[in-house]
Amino acid sequence: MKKYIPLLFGDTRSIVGVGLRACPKRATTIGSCPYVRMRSLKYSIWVLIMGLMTFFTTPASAALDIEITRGVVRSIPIAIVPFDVNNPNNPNDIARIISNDLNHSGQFQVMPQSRLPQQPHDADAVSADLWKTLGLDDLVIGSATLTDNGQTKADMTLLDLFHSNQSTPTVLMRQSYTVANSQTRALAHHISDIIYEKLTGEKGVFSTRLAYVTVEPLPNNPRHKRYSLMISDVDGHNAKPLLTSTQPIMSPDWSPDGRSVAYVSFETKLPQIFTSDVATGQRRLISSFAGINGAPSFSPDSRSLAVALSMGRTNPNIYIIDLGSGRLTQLTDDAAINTEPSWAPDGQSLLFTSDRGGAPQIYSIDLAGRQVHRVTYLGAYNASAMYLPGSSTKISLLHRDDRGFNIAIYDLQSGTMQTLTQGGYIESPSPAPNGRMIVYSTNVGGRRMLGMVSSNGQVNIRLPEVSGDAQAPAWSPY
Amino acid sequence: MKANLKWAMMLVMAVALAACSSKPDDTNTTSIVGGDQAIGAGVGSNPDFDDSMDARMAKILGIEKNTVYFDFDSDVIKADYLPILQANADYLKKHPKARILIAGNADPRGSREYNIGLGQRRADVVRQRLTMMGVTANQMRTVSYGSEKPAVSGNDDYAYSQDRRDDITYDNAG
Repeated sequence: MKKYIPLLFGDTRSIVGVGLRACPKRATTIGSCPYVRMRSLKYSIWVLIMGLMTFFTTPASAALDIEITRGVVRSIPIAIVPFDVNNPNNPNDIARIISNDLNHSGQFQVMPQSRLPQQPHDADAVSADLWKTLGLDDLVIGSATLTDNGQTKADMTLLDLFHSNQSTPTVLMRQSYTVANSQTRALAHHISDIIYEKLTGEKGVFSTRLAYVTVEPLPNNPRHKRYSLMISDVDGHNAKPLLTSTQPIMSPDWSPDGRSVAYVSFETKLPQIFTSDVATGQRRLISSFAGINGAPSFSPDSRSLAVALSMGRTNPNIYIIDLGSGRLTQLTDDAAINTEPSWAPDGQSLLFTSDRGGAPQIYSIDLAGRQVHRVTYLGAYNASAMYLPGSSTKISLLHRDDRGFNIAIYDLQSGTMQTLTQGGYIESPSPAPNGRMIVYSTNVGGRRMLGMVSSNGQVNIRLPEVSGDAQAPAWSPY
Repeated sequence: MKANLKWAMMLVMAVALAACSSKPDDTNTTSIVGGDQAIGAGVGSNPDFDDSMDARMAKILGIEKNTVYFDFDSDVIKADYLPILQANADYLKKHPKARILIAGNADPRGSREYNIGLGQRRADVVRQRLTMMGVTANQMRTVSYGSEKPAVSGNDDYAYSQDRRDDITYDNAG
């Protein structure tokens, strides 16, 4: 079985959409975008070539890289020339990390290194015509060299090929950096962020992180498991445990300042809610009531946690814990499962999951009047709702239909549900801070892995494999 | 009710403060590690599991396995499992110092936190049945592991039927 599904074969419908590509907000070089239709044919051909090249050049050992399982052609063609002056095939080259980032965003099509017509390090050495015939819009060149005192000196230039009529490309951006060698990955993600923002007009999320839980058998007692709360870069690299336990860990949620994570730990065999400082590991017990202590969710002002507590009864209800005073406020009080509270961006109301109507559906409660209203009616099972960042009308959720459990976007205004995935065994959706992608956990060949889908459903990727299962992902803020 | 909550919350905060002011005092099986530190004492090297206890208790109770299985989307105890509950009830009544943990579980489909709710319903129906059989409340604790501790791996009906269960374990045999 192929580990890597080439872009073109995933979703042929999207080829039709070429001419519909949104205009990049590159106000410095273009005012509107009348060029889109004109270039679409050339663009399609380029994408066709790209797809075929991907098909034939993919190594069998792609497991360590992000795997694109579904892609689209409605994205910006770009090339990133290797930065490493001495070794263009350096697997940790900044250019390679940027390429992964941009590919992974779904907004870009990055030309494979093997197809680059030249590999210049200076703008003067770029032959624009060579690149333009390949249909490229943008080119990133740069250099990275080691200094004598253990640092990396790097510079990066973003060139616009499409709008340069001469053989000299237009410089859109030029930056120089000196960082410790240990920070080159972070630098590469930073460069990806500024390229992304320059070309799409939106903030990139390549410097953000993920929290998730891994589960693997204990080496000396495989009947039992080791649960680890992991923090990693958003591309799955630099994964480090924040907590390990022989009892389950659940439901990590980031504080809006990105400094701490709230989660549920069963280390005493019973559930408790903690927060842990991500940098120091120092933690604080927040909730240890009788019965269920679950589903922590930081308020937008970071001052309180919404949680699900059963208080020794069977069914959990929604409460708010003030992290400063410890004051507890009960929001719901009925004999149904009420869980997964999630704050509206203005902090005035919460979404939550309840089966008060007989099956799990999304409800909303406003904090001032405690009025509850049902949000979802489509389908027999909706859960795990969160507002899509940057939108007060769209929520991501877990939606069950005849294909199983999938990620969907529900539009509160139009009342429409758009299913984004087709996996069927999916759970724990968590949107990126720019609302463009949603990370989730899915079943692949009997194991749980993390995947990401774009919030328009057009790009679906799988994160690198981890040892054991990976589940319950939460996307950090910026 | 409100006063109770306030009191309980103060207790939680006190515990939290105590945890902050002293050095980390966690069980052998949990290790906290800082963001930049390597993993501490390996949890695999010091497991506190006593699987033989479960087997020993099953033998004493005269049952094969101290587990109650449930149908899909159901927390109804099937008649097949009443003898298991009766054996536990008889033992607990004879051994007032014995303590059990009833752990409810759900199959892995759907939301993890919602499944915690489903597992708690399953744990509580068994606790209620044992209460009706004469077991005192302080001998029983319940917990829901939702879909966090699947009995078998796999995504088919057989695996799911094994996952939807209550495991009864003895913290103290009395």
